[in-house]
Amino acid sequence: MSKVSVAYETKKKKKKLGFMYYLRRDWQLYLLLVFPVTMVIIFKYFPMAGLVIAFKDYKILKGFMGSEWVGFKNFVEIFSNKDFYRALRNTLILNGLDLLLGFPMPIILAIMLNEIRTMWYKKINQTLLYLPHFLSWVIIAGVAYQLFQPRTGLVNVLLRNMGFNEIPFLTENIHWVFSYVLIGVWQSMGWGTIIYLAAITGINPELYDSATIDGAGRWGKIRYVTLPGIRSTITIILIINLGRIMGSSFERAHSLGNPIVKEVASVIATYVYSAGIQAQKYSFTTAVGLFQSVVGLVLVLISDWISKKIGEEGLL
Amino acid sequence: MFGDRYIKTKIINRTADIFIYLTVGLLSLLCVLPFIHVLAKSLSSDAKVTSQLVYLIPKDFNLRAYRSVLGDPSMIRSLWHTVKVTVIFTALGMFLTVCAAYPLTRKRLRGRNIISVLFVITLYFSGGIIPDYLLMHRLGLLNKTASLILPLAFSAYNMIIMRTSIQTTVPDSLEESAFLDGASDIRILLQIVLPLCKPILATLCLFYAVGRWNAYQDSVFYITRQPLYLLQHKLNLLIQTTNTSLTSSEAQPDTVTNPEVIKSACIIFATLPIVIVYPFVQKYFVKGVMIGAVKG
Amino acid sequence: MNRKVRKTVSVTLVLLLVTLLFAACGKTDTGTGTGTQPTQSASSPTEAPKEDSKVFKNRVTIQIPVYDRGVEGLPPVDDNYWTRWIQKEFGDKNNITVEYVAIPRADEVNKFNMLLAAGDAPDIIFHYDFPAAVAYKDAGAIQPIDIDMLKEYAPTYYQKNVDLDMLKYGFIDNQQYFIFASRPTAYNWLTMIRQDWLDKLNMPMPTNLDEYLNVLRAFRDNKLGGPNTVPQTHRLPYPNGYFANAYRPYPIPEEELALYSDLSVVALTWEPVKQNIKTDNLMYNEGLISPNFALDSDGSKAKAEFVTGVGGVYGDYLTKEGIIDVLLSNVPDAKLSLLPATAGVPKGGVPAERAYWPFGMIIGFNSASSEDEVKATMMLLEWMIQPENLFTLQNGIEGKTYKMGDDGLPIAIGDYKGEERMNYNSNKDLWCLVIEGKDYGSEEANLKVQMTTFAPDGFEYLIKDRYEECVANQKYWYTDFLFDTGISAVSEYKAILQEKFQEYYTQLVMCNPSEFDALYERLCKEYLDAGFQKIIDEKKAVYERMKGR
Repeated sequence: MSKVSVAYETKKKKKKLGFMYYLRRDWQLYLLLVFPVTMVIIFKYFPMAGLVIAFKDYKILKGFMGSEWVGFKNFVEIFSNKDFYRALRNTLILNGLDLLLGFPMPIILAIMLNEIRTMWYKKINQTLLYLPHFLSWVIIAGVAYQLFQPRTGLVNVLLRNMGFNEIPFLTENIHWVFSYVLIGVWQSMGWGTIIYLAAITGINPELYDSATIDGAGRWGKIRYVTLPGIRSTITIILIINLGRIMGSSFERAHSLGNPIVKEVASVIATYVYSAGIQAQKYSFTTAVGLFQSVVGLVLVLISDWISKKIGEEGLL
Repeated sequence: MFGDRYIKTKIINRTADIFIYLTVGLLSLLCVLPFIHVLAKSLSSDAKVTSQLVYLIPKDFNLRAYRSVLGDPSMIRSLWHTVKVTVIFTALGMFLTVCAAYPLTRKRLRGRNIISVLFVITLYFSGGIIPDYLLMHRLGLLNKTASLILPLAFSAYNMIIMRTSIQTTVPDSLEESAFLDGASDIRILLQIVLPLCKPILATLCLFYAVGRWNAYQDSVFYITRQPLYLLQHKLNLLIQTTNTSLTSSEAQPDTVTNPEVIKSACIIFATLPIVIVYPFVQKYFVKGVMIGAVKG
Repeated sequence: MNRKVRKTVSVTLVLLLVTLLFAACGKTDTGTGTGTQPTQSASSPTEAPKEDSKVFKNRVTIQIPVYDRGVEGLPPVDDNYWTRWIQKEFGDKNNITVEYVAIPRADEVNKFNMLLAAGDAPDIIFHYDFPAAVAYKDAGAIQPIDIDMLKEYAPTYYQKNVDLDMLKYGFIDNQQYFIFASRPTAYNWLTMIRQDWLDKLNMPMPTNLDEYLNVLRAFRDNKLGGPNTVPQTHRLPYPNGYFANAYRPYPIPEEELALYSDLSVVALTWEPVKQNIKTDNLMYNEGLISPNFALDSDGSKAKAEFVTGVGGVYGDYLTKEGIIDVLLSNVPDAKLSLLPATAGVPKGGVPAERAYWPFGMIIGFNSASSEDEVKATMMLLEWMIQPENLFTLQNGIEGKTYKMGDDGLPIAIGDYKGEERMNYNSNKDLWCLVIEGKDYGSEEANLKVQMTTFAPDGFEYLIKDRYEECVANQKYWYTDFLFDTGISAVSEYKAILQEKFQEYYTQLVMCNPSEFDALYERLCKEYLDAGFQKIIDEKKAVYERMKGR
């Protein structure tokens, strides 16, 4: 036998031995994994085969396989459409602002809640804070308009009575953008605290004790114990949210929007609804969705790589 | 001098306290007001609500709407059905999440990265409503309760949170020493890891339950037999009645619309169960539950 | 190690079993049905089959779609007293099983498409919206109808379609694809004005646009509705062909009618539309219409303004409850009159309106349905259109859901809660396959019933006035141009163009009058680029082909 083939044989044997060894040692772990992996393959990956219609001219009755292959034609159509770019720009701006203003809020709120020592006060506030999470956007928008619309909106009536000028919260582009973001913050901040509060309770109380001994005040404890303690959670949620920057909530934009501010209120979800779903162009819809997913995944991979560089566990 | 600094710190702490209590209280108030508004509408008369005159106080107080909703057996049946589905869904979801999260925290597991990627991809990619529907059809799950439980039971998002939590809460040393002592993986999971993760387990139970409670799109497409509709599905149908296609040749569809008042009552009715459940789950967040098994 | 292995294995097996149980749980769970199941078993019908050779030898099952509107408090739309009644009176007697498939009213196209994709769609595929129905046909979901089969199995239904000249609408690409339910005219779409305001100002009812604008200005200046008076309540207009009716040329040249008059898409670039929007712009800038109209996509704000006494003019489908009664509770002295259609007509124009289509529901047969299934479905339509069956379906059981009035017309008993209670809107979603409303045989009878159905007590004259106005103006009404094939560009672009119309209309109405023309030019170009040009091009090509050029 030549040297090469000997080396090859040995390598093969070692690999084979390696695999079986791990399987035997960790079989319980693999067994546990069988359940979720099976579910995911059946309910998530099988339907993903349907993504292929993004490259086809899908006709309902021809099915996935029977429909004609058109390659990137759908994507060309999407990217040569002015309205799409408007929707894309708006989606990025709104989601970006959401991240900037909305991401820190639950963290700050969670830390504040943690500082409250009066138990009943803390409990009641917690319960109240997450109520908005349960209201659908249709309802929230209805209330928002009743409060903020020009002339008859409660807040504007108040402003007028106090001698100020009305504010076009929902009827002027820039105002609308901030209203959209702030209302979003309001809706999700309470619910968002849950995960951070749970993470805070997971911090070893002994760390707080040693901090006190070292002379740290309240703020010091927050800075050197609490925040580092939930750093992993913050990073993970940040990464996941970054991956969602291309996505948008149809209900939120549709309910809060109105024709006056269409220039900023048209997001990918609402655009796809009119141009894709209502026009029964499923290929188009799927193609846009595929684009969003790919961008999302790329962003996740990038931010995950960065987080590993700074010492976090990362997503993957 | 020592006394001065002490008093200064006390004042700062006091001010900080006031600030925190006030801010939190204000924010809570902001959060609860729309709810009070919906509640007020549900207790008012149709006329006042149509006139958009109801803000925070009911006008023409009456309980007609609630009598109507609670007296409708299909609403109550839907409530119990949804509760049942939510409970099974949460149990299954938690089981799958733990099964996935724990093994992925073990660095020694070969293929760990590939499996992680497998899960993460499902967070961002999906086939769409038609492929999902076709799958349900092929599995024979249309119009069956299982179609509301199985497809969404495993949430990669929740799994990632669980995994991160295990990694931060359970020190590797603890697990390694148990492993070297000859404890099996599953034993370690059940006797050491899970008890330490009670807060996050409670949190994820809440996420699963609320996620299932609020979502209804799958009920709309998979279920046509009304007794199996989820509560939010029924609710959403109500809210949507007014705007049907106005370019159609359908003569105006309403001689009877669902009044705003009934809609408001239904919203309160559908949200109340979760609001009631939360305080019970809350106790796991209030104190840190850490078995002092690790010393140094 | 051995014992531990066994223990682990047994635990795992238990877990596996539990998961399987969940899945199995699903499969055997056929759902908790309410009420009794219809007698659908293979048992022979209770009566001997009629002599009629049409009774099927082998049991045929047909699936009929029925809208599910989510109305709270009613039995399931696909299984209730009336669906069972249909099975008993029609299905059992003809050896047919009638199954109803619930279609969510608010998302029906998606639902139909999913069913089609899964091969599970019902035997009838329907829609109220013509372009949508044509889209189904273009997708291959509709089979051509054999007219002879229709004449044989549903002669009365066929005859009705012929009498009302409806078949031509469903004749596309040289084949009959659709048949139609008829539609008796309803006179409840009307515009009301506060007569007491006119009286206070001593002004006569306006008869043309100039007079009308002056009335509105007087309303505004005198603040008859309080400090926030809204002379004419206004909302975002429906983005459809009803727009700019009064501004059209009369008589209208056929080519313009064909190219620009479309039920689904507003012709923004057409001169009449421009003039209408310009008038609205004037009204907005003079403070004559609701300032927040752009925020009112469902009309609820306009309604609120009217019923609280702030608004002077309001247009909507009149209903017995919910509008006038609320107004009177807030303003007991309010008096109302019909605002004539001529009030919106500019100089030189006529009160044109779009003539309602003679049909309601558009019905096609699933291309996957077998011949027997199509025959059985036709038989169902034929049975349902028989006067006695239709009457029962529309009115229910005498003494329980209705009682006979002195004039021989049935009066509905509203809150009957027994087993035989009617479904939504008097079982409409069941009999909409044959007719869109209630027809009592004569125009007077229909009008009489409409007056009591749509108007609250004391205001029936509004319906009557509207009826008389419709009769008088009928000669000005126009019908849509009938293309002999579907216009695919309309189905493709209508959703986005409707959205754009609302966006551009808002901009044009709210802008400064001096900027109007320039803005209009710019927006027209955008509108054309967004798909309207394609629609015009396609329509022009078809039109010219039809005219033999």
